[in-house]
Amino acid sequence: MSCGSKCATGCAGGTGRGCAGAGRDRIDEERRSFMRGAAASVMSLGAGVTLYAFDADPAAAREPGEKVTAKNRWGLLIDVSKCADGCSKCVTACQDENGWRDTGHPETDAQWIRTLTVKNPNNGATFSLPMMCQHCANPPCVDVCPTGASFKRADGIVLVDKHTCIGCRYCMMACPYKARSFIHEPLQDQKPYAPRGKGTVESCTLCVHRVDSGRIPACVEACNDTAGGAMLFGDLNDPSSEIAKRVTALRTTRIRADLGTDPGVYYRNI
Amino acid sequence: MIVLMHQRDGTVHDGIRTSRFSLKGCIDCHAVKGADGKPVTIASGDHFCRTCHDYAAVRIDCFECHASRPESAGASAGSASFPGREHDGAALAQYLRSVGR
Repeated sequence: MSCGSKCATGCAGGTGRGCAGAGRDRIDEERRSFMRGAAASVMSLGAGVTLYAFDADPAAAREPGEKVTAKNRWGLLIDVSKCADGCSKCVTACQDENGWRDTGHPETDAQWIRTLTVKNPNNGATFSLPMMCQHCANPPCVDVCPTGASFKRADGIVLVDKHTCIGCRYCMMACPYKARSFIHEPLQDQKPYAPRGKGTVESCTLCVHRVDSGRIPACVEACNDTAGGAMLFGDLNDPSSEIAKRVTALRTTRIRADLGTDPGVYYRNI
Repeated sequence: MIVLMHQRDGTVHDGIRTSRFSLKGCIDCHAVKGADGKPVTIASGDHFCRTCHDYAAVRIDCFECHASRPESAGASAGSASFPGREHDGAALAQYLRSVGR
């Protein structure tokens, strides 16, 4: 198993090569926070009138007709030590769920999730990990989007609104995780709940259609059912949720945390 | 279309997925079966959305991304088939009455 052409530069590979200094990036983060000030005050007004209580069960978190709110912050915790070499169950589950697949053009094929093999050059030790959209709280893809198509939902899921995406691919350049793909060819027979088409950019949606109906993402389900159970999905904002407890209690890593993107995907044992 | 656009923002940005906000919901009911008994895609002139838009000489691009037929073939698909390709106003109105439930 190799990570293919998309991760050839290793920018999200965790080897530490090419990491920018933390001090310089802090300035960028402060600028972003300043620019967001007005929007944030509106959000806090909305949060004040939320009626339902915290609940560990995602299905009970929201009525079907209710808007998503910042009460939730969906995230993943991935224990890399449970990722077997050569396992790609999460990738195939995502392909089956969302209808993307390899068409024999590795340079341009869509990749919502991929497995990376990271190697320590000193001793040759390797391990594998899944890499996908990290659903950042400060997503660079949203910062650069000229049309507002790339956006972060109130509950932390970063999406592309393909109705307004013009296919400029700035977000692909901005993403430090190389999580986004562009669709080059016309498509047929897409999944009804995962619309995707030529001329737009796409990436992992955290299976937003499943999350909205109280289910867990397809990759997490497949990993729990048929692989090592490395992935855990949950609400990082809910202190009683399993993921929040583990993130608080265990030593976790977020990839390129030095960039200040505040990813929603946590890794263990990297 | 104005109504649809408002609802699509409610779905994409606010996560509201009730049937009134769902293009998938429209497609599930308004699917038209072709000669083989399976729902036709937008490639067919019999497709529910295309009948009016062809008549008005408007090409819609919704289905470049969205699925134009229900996922499970035959699931809640209508049994109507389009009477002819002449696309005259009376035939179109009759057809729409037969499939518009």
